[in-house]
Amino acid sequence: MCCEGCRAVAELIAGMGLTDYYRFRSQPAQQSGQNHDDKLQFFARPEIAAQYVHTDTAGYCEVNLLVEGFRCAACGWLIERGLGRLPGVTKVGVSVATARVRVEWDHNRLQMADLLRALSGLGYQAQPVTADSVRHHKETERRNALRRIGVAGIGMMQVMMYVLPLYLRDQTHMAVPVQHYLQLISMLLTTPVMFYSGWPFLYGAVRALGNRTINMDVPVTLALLMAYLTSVYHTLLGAGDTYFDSVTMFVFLLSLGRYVEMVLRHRSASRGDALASLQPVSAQRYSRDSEGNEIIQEIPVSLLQVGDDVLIRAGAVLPADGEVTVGCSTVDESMLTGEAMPQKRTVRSSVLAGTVNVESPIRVRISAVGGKTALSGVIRLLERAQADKPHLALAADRVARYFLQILIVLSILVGIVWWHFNPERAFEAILAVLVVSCPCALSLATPAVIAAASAAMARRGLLITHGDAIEKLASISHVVFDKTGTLSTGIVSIGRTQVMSCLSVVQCHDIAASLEIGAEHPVARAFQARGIARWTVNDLHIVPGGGVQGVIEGITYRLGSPAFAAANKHSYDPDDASVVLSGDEKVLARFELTDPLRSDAIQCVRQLNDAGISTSILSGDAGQVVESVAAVCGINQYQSRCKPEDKLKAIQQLQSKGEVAMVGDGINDAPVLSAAGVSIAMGAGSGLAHASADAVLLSNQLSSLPCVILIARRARKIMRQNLYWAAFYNITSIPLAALGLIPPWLAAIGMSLSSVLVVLNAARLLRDSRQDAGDTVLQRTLHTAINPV
Amino acid sequence: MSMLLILIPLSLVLIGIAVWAFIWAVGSGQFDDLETPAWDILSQPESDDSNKYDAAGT
Repeated sequence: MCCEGCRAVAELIAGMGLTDYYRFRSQPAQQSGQNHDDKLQFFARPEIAAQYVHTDTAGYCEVNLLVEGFRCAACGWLIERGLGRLPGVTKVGVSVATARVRVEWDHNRLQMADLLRALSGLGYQAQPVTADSVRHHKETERRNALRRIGVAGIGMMQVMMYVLPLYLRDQTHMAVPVQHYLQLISMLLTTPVMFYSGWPFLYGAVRALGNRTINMDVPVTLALLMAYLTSVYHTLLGAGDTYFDSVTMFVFLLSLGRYVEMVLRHRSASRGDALASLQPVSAQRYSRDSEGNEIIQEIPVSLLQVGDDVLIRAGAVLPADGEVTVGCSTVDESMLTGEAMPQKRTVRSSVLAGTVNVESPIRVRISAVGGKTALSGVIRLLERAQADKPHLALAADRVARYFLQILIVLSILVGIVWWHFNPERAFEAILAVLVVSCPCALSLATPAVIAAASAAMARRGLLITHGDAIEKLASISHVVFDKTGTLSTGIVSIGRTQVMSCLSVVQCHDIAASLEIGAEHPVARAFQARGIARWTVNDLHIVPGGGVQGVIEGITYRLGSPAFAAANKHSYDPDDASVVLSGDEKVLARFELTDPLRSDAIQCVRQLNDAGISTSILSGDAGQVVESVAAVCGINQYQSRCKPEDKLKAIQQLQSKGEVAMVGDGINDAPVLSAAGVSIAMGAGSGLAHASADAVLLSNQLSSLPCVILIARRARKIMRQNLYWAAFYNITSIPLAALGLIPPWLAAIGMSLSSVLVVLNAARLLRDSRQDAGDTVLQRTLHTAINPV
Repeated sequence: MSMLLILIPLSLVLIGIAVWAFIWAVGSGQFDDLETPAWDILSQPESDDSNKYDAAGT
């Protein structure tokens, strides 16, 4: 190797590119066990696996896999069963809409590579999700689908041209050899359409039958094969009807339907992918060369470890979570939190993976890598929500599977009956029944809506972590707020200062700041922000539950609660939340602390009331404070000084009247949150990784709450429309097809349209937030402009 | 009728060319991103200008 650049490239190939390399190598012609084993071995390497696998404290692992060749609910069922049977696997969640599988397993009994091996045994190629593989997978899938549609479309048009004279042969008295000639040419054109464009259907059906189950591809394939083989037989025999036009049209229309489904599915998944694609591939790490000088080395992100120091240039994306050690800059966290303005970050502030360093270079000490970063946490929650199937969807899937078995039997019966009465049309009727009645729409009805709704909500800063949450959100009638950190910002600042001595206000603030220097709690930060710590303090010590005490220029100052600082010289209301500064036992000043309301709290409450949702506050704070907050926000019901068990009781009481949502800061309120019908936690902070809430308000903007509830209500409506439509379609179309009233071409259109309609209906949820989407596109364009990598 | 013997194989050749052209277009990424080109018209002049300034001035 000639230089650092080459080294970095080589390491990058070793770190990231291998996946792609083996994907290319595993094309059918070259696919040998050796190559596949190589791929598995690559993922078996601990440092590679650690990049994708999230391990919790109890020794359970979690990984998201992207599955190729994933088509419908039956595939999902097969994978669920196949992986669920492995020893050590505790949970398998399949997202049909995004072709992802989320697996949880016992670390001691199984490796990630074993999961991949099991999947390949079932006939699926899978790989753990990284930004690279997702993008590559999507591109290949889309290109292949387009090629297949193109071939089918062109083939269909031409076959139709050759077949038209055959339809008119009686009027035109066409010579028999010409008829045979045209049939032969049609066969020539249909064959590639059938076996190239129709390959996904054929392969899917064969794989399902090989695993002794039935999926949506089976009836379609039966119909295609019957029509094609009969036509070929008749052509070679030189007598009888041919159906080449029907075959090409089936393939074209069905592929088109699948394509639209695929595009919409990709779009729903794009939020998660947008987050995943934030993770950069390489990082610049500080290290020492052989002479002990500090150098900067470009290394793959997968080799980063906790405690490493990295350089983040302006415009670069952070590779991992960490703490700034040198420098000062602003960081754009918009993709993670929805916060549009870049946030200021100085020495000792923490920065998150996936955010963009905007202004100037900083040096960062890594505190979390790979699956442990906050970004990974968000992605994982999002994927869990999409893999989580609500009860409604599970029921629909079960119905669809029984339905398929009945369908095949039914089509045989229809064939027999028609054979008795009108043998010429029996064939047509069987084709129509097989094609028209595919229950795709039924299986897609709910997952499509869940995916679209969670994407629409994510754009407004609300991350859904459980599939059921959307249905529950739609039916809530009451919202309970916590106060601190929820309705208020949770950032304490100093309000009115009442000076009770000859000192000036500024002097009081400076003394307080000097006393509080180095302390970490919120009140101390408020003083540090207000005053300048210009004095050195001797004998500084902290009195727990009271405040701080220190000596400045011979005077003993005390800062803290009135009881502590004023040392019983004055009597104070125990409800008083203010802080008092005293010097040599004499009260010098009294500071009022305020916790400002969030700017959108009032708007949020008003909009909720407008939507017919009542609101209340349950807070552990003192009465006065809660009362004033309630008055400002326009909330009539409130309870102050609540212990967690009081909150629980209050929520259970409210629940007897209707579904209750609880909005809290997620850390202190965990038990209360889990009791509520829907729990919404604020913020994307450290608590997120183990958040038990149903939803997380990443943006911290309360104003998106009413909006999100409206989305949930619409989602529920659309979900019901979809289920009604799918049921109605299948119930009416089958008798019609069995009676021979639906010609095969109409059956193909009907079947494709029924599933496309369901997906398009769900996509209406995405359309309304197109304005926002435009904004993120703009932002992303800007990012790429700043950061060409 | 002998016309058909020539014209139909000829049409097959044309179909072959059409299919090849389509597959080439897909393979070369013509359909990969249908959205960005619409944005390009907005962003292109700016970047061109800045390039010019870069070349001339700084």
